[in-house]
Amino acid sequence: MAERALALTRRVPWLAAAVLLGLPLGLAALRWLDAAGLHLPPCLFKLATGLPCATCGTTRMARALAEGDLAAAFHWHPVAAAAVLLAPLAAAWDARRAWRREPFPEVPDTLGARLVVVGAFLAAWGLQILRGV
Amino acid sequence: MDPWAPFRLALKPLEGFKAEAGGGPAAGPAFLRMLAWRTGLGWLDGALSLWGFAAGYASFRAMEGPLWGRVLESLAQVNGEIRPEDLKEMLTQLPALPPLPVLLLWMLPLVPLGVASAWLHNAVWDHGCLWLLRGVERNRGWRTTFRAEATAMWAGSAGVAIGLLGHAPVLGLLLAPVLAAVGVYFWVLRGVALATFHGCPVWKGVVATLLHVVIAACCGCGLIVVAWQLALAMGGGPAYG
Repeated sequence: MAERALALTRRVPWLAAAVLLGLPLGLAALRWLDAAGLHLPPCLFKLATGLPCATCGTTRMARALAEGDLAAAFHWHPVAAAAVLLAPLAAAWDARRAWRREPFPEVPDTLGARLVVVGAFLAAWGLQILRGV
Repeated sequence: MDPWAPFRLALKPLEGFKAEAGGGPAAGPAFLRMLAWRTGLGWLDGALSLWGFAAGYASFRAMEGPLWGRVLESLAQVNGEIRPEDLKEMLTQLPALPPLPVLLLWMLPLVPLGVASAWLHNAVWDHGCLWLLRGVERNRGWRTTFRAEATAMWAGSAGVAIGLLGHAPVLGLLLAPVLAAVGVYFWVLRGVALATFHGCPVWKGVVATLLHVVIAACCGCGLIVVAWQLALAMGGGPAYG
């Protein structure tokens, strides 16, 4: 009975909300920083180790995307650029599921899925290190 | 509204979180309860921090206070070529802070936004890390983590309230190590909440919050976040939970 009551409740589309709020806010923050002549501090990980961190290049990627320069965006961080471009699709998917009263899908509970996530993270990081971003 | 409820939860976390997991509010109401508590305390904490910072910055720009006397004395001994007048002129070139009331007005939307962002950030990262550690059971998904994080941050209101002592002159400095320990306690409490709500061993919840930091540190900006959290913990800021 409780499960049925839960299924009748429409959940908050958190992913869609985060994308809808995050993308304009991020863009506004970039423009504000530019207008104020301010820059984000350099990456502490790179300063400490000499190697780029897993997200090094994302600020420059965001700046390039804001200027509509897709090639430069993919140059600075291909994985993050792809993620940002796919974000509206993910938001639409989440909003549709929420509207249809479907819960967030369960994350697969397998060792393989965990290895894929860790491997993808390390691969994206390795790519940035090899390219010397 | 019982002002001691977060303190009771913080003092008996295992029983408290178990009761909250069983019969506590759902994710939305738990978030709103946490937001109401943390926003009020966050404003107070932020106002006191701004007040102290603005006073310190003003005296730094004006080369006033006992510290400047010592610095100028030492500079005269080390290198007599640096003239205080030149130094003073250079410091007056530094931009002045906006008036305190303006800064406080900015805090009205920024504090709740910061609290909500911290909750969302912690929930997403901690859930991912708990999943990596095989701590997320079937049928206990994201909603459970959102509830756990909201409840942990609500308990963290007690930490923020205690942290306000860090703003007291002299006493705040003396209490800094104790307040740092309080910050660590409320960090561990977040892991306990995660584990209790998900029904997994406590160590998995605590390690998930630490793994969160390690992965964030690999993302560079994580180091800034860690430094910020430590600074806030030392100064009694909203680093709790």
